[in-house]
Amino acid sequence: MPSMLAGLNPGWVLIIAGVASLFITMRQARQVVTIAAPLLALLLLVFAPQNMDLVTTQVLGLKMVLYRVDALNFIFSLAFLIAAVLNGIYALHSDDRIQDGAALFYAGAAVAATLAGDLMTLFVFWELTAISSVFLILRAQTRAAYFAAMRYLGVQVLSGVLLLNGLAYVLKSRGDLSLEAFTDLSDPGVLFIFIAFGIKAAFPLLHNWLQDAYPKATVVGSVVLSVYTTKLAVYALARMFPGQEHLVWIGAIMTVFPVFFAVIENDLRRVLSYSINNQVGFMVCGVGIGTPLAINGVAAHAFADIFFKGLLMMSMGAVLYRTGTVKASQLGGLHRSMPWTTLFCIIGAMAISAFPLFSAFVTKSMIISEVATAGYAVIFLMLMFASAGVLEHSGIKIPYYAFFGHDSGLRVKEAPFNMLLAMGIAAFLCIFLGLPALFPGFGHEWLYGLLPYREEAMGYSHHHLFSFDHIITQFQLLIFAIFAFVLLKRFHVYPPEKRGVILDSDWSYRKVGYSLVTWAGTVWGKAGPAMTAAFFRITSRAYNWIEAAFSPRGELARGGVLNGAMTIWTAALLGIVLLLSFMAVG
Amino acid sequence: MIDAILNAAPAWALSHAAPLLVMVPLFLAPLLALVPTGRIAWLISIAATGISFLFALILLGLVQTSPIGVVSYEVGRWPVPLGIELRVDALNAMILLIVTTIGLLASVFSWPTVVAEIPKRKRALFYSAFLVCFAGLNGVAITGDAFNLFVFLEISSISTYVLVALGSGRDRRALPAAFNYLIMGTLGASFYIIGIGFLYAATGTLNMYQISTLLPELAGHRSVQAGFAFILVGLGLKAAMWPLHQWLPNAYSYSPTFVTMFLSATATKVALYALIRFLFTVFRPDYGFEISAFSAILMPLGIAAMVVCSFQAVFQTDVRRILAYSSVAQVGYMILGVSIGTTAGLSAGLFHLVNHAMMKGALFMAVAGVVLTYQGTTIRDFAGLGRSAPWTMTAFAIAALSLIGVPLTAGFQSKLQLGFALFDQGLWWAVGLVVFSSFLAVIYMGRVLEAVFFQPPVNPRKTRKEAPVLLLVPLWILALANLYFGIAADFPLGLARDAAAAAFGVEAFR
Amino acid sequence: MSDPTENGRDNSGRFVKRAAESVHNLNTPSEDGIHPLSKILFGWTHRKGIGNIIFYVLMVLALAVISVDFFHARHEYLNFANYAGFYGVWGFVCFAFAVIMGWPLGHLLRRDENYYGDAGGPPEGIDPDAPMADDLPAPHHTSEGDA
Repeated sequence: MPSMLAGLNPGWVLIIAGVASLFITMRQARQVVTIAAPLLALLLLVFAPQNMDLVTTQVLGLKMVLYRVDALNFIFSLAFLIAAVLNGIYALHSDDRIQDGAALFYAGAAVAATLAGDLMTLFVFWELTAISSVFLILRAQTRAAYFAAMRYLGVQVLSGVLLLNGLAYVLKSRGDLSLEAFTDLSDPGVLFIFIAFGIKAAFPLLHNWLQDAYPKATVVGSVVLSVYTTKLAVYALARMFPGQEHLVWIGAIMTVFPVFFAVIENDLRRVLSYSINNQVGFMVCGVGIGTPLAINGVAAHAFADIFFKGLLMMSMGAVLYRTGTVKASQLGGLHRSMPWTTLFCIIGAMAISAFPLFSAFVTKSMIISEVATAGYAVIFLMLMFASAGVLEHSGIKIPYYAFFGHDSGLRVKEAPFNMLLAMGIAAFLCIFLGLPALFPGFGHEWLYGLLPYREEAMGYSHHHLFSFDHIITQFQLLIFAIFAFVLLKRFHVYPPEKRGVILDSDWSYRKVGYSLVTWAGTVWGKAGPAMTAAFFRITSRAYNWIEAAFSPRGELARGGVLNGAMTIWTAALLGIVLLLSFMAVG
Repeated sequence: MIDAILNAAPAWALSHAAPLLVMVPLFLAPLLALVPTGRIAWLISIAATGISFLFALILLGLVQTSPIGVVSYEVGRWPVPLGIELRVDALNAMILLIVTTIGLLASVFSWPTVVAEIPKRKRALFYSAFLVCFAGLNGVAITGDAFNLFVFLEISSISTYVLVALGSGRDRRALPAAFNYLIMGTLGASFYIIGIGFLYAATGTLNMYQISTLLPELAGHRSVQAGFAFILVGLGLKAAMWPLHQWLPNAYSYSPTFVTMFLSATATKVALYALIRFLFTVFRPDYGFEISAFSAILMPLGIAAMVVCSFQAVFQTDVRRILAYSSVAQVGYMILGVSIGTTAGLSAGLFHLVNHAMMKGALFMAVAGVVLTYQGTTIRDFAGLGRSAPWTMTAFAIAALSLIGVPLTAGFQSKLQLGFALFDQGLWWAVGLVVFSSFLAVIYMGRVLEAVFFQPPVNPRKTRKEAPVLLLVPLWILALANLYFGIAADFPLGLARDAAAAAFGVEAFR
Repeated sequence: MSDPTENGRDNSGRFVKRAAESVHNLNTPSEDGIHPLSKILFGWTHRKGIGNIIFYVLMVLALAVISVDFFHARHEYLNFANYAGFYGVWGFVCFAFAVIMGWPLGHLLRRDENYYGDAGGPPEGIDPDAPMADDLPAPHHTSEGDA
């Protein structure tokens, strides 16, 4: 490849295309850009030479490696770019410059962050993903979306500044910002970075921005959002913190707790947001194990997750697009009018539930197998619980309440063709990635061949993946869980879907924090003048003197703004400075 | 570029650059009062500020090529203890460059706004006052004499009061605002002159350099300490150091838009320069009373400014008041940098000073454009302007992002430097507060940007209505500078580092 | 094929045309809004007594997959996973536990839809023909900046 093209970062291609499409008013031209740019970027990525610094620059004495491809970030950016193509197709029915531009820009920033060769570059694009993605939420143009977007932006920017904070520390202690993995969490800088990554990966108690914002985005927006931010964080964790034992527990908790929320949640896009949390938990857990096979599992599961989660989000988006709602309590029976969407949704549901011959089966099992090998019995049980849980909320609840169950009587059109096409491609990937290797390099072996540790992956594929034990145990887990569903439905102990919002940790800042601030404001409103009044009484003589000296009363009163107070401040400050100076020497 | 100017300049310009920088605008100012029409006055003021700008470049070049890093000029050839010395080093060369650059850009864009806001017969006088103010600010920055500094400070302040009061044509509240400013400014100047009196009593000289050489043996002297206290408070007031900032929001909100833009980018900066000059050159940061003033006064006040005023900015509804409170908060950053007491801290503070001049200049310039075409400064008036005035508002957004400190903008670079300087001293909690304050900046600028780009206009117009080209060009120069220096920060950062070194009396050059 | 016309010339053309027609028919919903494809794919779910059938089929399947454990020993790294029926039982228990916890958690955590005061309609950009479900009346926000 010509050297000029080799230096062209695929992420930047998308960013430039994103900015351009903000200004392209002609719809058809913009549609071409939104599909062609990711395709071009894919070509650039696939042909880029690996393991060398392709673009570097020097800023303030800091060497920044802007573009470097290696085995780990290749698979993540590949998934991001394929998803960008699908998102472009999925958005074809809409004519929204800002949405198209923001989606491309956001994808590009995520790809560029993945392909960064040092932490500073990662940080820059990390921030850009935060800023560009917020438009996808804002474009929903509802009141809820507006406030959620502001909270989202706040949290994302917080993650960025924490990262920056950590970088400053690390630069000082380590002397460079290379992508060499951290081992010691007790260094405060490393801890800052860890928490910054943790926010984006939606660690437990840091997770709520996700469930808050994603369901309020536009139809296309939540599909795009579900791909990048969390997986970028998973990549960053896998890069900087492999084998960090805390992550095993954090990940396991992440897989478990969303299950309970997803059961009672009514908004199906919010259910899927909890499901993102749950799936990212598996990946985080795998990063914590840190063995080659576990890292393989993380990369592969992220790759698969992008497509089956995207597929589920797309199907819910199609439902929202046609019916105007995704609340389980108002839907049901849509398979009558949207059979294609139903079919694709079921494929996605089976993929996420890790049915054999579907994608998650070949990816998640690597992580779980490594957990078992490492002897984490409790973690293993938690992950098994979560596997049953994901079957519950994503595998059954989503298709059942949207497309089957009680017939809502909604008779709508099938999803637009472009949506069906995008869903169809994603569904194809969900199945293709899970197929046994009928010939070398087919099905799951294609994915395994892209993994960072190919030898280990192939060994696993030959000895364990499609072994009788593995398949039968997986069927046992799934069939018994489905049987539990049928049984609970039959005896009417399955909780019915009710309208309402479900409180989560965001309650602490959306309700308590907000009330606290309001309360503090009220108190300050009362206490402030009281304190000022007391202060004035004490210093009234000085005040009168200064006032008489410097201004006629009337003038100042007309001036209005606390001038008297300020003169007193001046005097008080002078006194303090004098006192300090005298004390310091005397 | 500076080399080219140095080579091209005639010998008289090189040897008399320092006095001419101040004298040209100062002597042109009374002339302007006699000029019949405002338009000619405007052209002359552009010429005057442009000449000063060239001299500022020359001075910077001279300082950078000078072996000792100082350009000294004895006015009237009177030797130092008797006469007035103009003394330029890397610190004030940088300040002069900022003031003259902003002055030039401001006078270029001023004409449309002056036409809209100032009555016809007052326009020439307005420009006259502007040039006096401009000359005064440059004089403060250039002089090496403590009393002369007071004189220039008053020259600039008194003309500033006039300029603020001229806003009464648009908003009557400009009059009380100007009056308040007058009272408070006079108070600050008085404190300063009292402090100088104390120093004179102790040392017997008014030349700052001489004071600084005499002070070490007098550091325990009561009158030196009293002088320090008065100067700190007096100049702190002029620099809008929290809580002595209360004159600023009104003065900035009600004065003519052009004046706001010019003052916000220069006046507090120059006062802060004077404060830095006294803290670091005249007094030394290793004196006991100054160390305690740094840790017990300046650092808490700086932090309080950046937190409290950011909070206040969040609750404003008028864009100019948001920006005004934000200015006080930004002064807080600079004071925080200064109060670290290290070269790194001081250079971070000065770097932020440069960047703040660029971003606030651009922000207020964009606001001036909006006032010109849409007559309104509340957030509500800004709704939907992203569609009807995209060029103006894009520049506004760039500067706003820089103010927040988004990466790839100048504001980010200076906050980064400030963070590094704080880390060096282990003050990571202060870094946390800087971050928190930036977070507040996200909120208050975010509110404006949201209205600009995402809300429908209050009165939808079919046609686009941009600010005039005369305004757009300087606006975009500043906005692009924000971006350019956010990526390649070497030039301003080098200036700030040299300036900090000069303030410490270290003659370290690149 | 069983084309009635003996005319061999345009056989292929007819075939394509008929295929196109049947695809078209397959994608044109009938008057009651029911998509023809859904009858083919999911028609079986409307059968009478389908609930019972699914229930018993699943029960048989479950028994079948678990009975394997009694004839076939596994060798896993974690000992407890080797017990017969471990995966089935654990899957059943976990699923049931998660679902049943929905009752107390729902009571504990479910609040009115407008609890945070921001409930509203669907996002911008949905199908203009969407049959606006009976949702909370909350218009798209037209707030001013200082709301």
